[in-house]
Amino acid sequence: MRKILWRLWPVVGALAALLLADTAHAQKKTLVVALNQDPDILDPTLARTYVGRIVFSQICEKLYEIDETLKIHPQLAADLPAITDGGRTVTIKLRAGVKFNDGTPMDAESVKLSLDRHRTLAGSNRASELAPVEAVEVVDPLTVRLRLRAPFSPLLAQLTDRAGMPLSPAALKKLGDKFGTAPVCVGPWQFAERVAQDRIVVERSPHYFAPAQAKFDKVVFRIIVDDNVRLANLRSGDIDVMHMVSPTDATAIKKEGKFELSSVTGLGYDGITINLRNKTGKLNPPGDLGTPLANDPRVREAFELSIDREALNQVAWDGLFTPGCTPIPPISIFFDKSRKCPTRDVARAKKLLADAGLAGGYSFELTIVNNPRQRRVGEVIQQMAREAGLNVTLRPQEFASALKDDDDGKLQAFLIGWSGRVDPDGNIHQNQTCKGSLNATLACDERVDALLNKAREVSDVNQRRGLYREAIDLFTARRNNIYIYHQNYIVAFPKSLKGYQAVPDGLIRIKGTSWN
Amino acid sequence: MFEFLVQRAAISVVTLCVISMIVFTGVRMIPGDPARVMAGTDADATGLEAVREKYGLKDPIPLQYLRWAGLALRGDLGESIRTREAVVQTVVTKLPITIELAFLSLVVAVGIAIPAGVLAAVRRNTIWDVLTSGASLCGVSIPNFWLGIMLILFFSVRLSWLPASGFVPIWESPLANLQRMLMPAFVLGTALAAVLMRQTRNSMIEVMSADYIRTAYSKGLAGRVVVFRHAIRNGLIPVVTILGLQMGALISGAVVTEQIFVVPGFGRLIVEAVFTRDYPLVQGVVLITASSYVLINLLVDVSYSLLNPRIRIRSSAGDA
Repeated sequence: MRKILWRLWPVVGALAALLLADTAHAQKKTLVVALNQDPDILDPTLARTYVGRIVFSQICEKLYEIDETLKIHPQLAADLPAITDGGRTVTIKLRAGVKFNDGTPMDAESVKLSLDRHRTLAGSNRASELAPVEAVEVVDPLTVRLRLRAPFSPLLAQLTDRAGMPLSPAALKKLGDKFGTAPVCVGPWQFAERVAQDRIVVERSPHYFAPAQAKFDKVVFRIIVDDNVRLANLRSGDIDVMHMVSPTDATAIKKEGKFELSSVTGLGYDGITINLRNKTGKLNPPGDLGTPLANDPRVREAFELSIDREALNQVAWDGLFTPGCTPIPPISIFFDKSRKCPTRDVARAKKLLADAGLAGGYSFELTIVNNPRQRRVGEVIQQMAREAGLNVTLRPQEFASALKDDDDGKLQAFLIGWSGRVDPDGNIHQNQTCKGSLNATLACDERVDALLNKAREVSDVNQRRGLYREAIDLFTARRNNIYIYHQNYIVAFPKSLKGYQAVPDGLIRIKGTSWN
Repeated sequence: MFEFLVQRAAISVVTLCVISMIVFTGVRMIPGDPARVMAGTDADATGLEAVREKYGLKDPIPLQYLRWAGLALRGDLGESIRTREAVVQTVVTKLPITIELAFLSLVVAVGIAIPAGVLAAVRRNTIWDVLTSGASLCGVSIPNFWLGIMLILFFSVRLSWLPASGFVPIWESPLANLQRMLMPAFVLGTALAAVLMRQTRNSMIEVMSADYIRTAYSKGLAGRVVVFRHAIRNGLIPVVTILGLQMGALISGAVVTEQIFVVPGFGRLIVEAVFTRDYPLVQGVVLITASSYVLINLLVDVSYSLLNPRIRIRSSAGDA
């Protein structure tokens, strides 16, 4: 036995050495950010995932940027645009001396090339965002002019996202539709490496116009899907910044005292979409669904009155999200502070059901995406609705197939969210207009369309706010969407990381942050 | 032997053809509109049409299959819809990771299971048998995700001995690679060891009661010699079968472990590809996984004949 133990010593020694040679903690010159999802293609024209925008925030700057208060200010543009010709001409002056990360200059020609690519490339996910733009013209080497078909107030907000990202013409020429495999834009960091579903590495750019803003040599984005695993990695020091902290974990992290938590109300919303007239698919003519939920507004009102938004937020999200009843988040200048959300009123809900001839109760199906978060919310809603006499059956379904069923008119009610846009138009128009591309409920009201179209044309904030107020009054009364809350983006990082600023779009911006 | 190999290879090719058809059709049977997933939730009807057109989703499935199979035969498995990276390239990146994890898990499993199984069989109905059987039951019963999280919390969070997750290629740093592979290999290996141990024990018990073993004992050979020289080779044949099957499962099915330890292997790749309806990636990865499965089974068949020449002889005689 002793002999065996003696022989095992080298093995034990080697194992100990292995364990003690700790390389787990990232080098201080490298910042490791954990994302909860693998981004899709890193091509601003074709990209569509939210997490992809976090990577773009470091490597692809935009003509305009938003700040913590959602105020828009120039980033690669020199100033806010000059809007003339009744809103049909938008002239943008570009910042001088800016270079792409391959060292080529960013000028009006390259911006025109990028905007045209965003508008016209087959399969572009920016085409609809820039649809009102009829032509892009080069005025001089540092000025571009956008000609619009009609005035379009949300345009500036569109240019604060991927539609406003200039791409290197040299890289476009070299890579074509494979641009996303090695994207080259303007940014404090440049793309270095990607291992699908594992990591994306970006390195400090030698060409960035404000080099002092990039304090880290490298930023590594690691893809860690599971909330618990992301959290364990934060605690072990394997990652520095944890994106999308679950509210249920946030309280525990805070108590530990080692990490800073940043929470900001997002631009999107979560709510219940109720099918009103989509019988055979949203591209087909509407039909009569023949159900009280679809046909009787009193049943939908009873359902809304059964929900206690504040209690739901406390139970499902530890009170860390923001209850709401419109698609506009509180941070927006278009948010109507005077609006009061309906409070829970079970007695009135019961009365409405009785008036609708459903005093004995009413049953319907609520589809939820099959994940723990949605199940939690669904179960709370189910319990609340039961007290009002509504028997809600939860139908968990995989996300893609639920979307398809929603489009095909197979769902009665669907618990779903929207990640949100800077301008309220992006949260409302596609969902609430008669022909809106996301209006799967086929709810239609010409008055809503007129108000929302008008809000696109006018640029005065007060006037737009008024138009949105009127439109929201109309569509919240028909309740094809019952808005429940706005998600908060919660990010955790060590207390030694300084300079982190939370912006309501929830994107992590590394620029300007540093170790203390 | 050559005839045996040709016969097995022919069966393997037919198997792969059938698998590729099933996978190709099966992926398209998954509910949900792939165009909607690819184009994003906010794409309009024109955008969806453009995606369907671009990826030939409007063509009949047999036509789509023939187009894909033709390219696959020339080694072109297409490109991922999500990342635009060539599927072959993605596989080339991921396969060594999964193979390494599977291999290390096997090392752990074999290192634990075979000595323990042999010990339990030789010392049957003693405390050693009870202990190893109990340990095996624990190994089977403990879920991977629980064990994985516990290891991370203990070795990474509490002791800071090992990195909690990730992967470093072995050629970049063998030490960092091993540090990151230890825990996932242990988690996968212990689960597999439990199965292997029971199989080894049963098989060895059967062999140890055979006539030739009794003869060996009666000749006065030492117990160790009987076990290691005469019993173990025959006793391991069923174990090798299980190993072959498990190796295939390890390559394609270490999803949970890969998720917990953030190992960028095949399991995660397949799951993500299915959820995002990345058809070319699913098809390519499943085809390659199936191929490796078939290949491993072919190797297992060959190894039978090496471990027990009678199998080879019977096969040559046409009664295998």
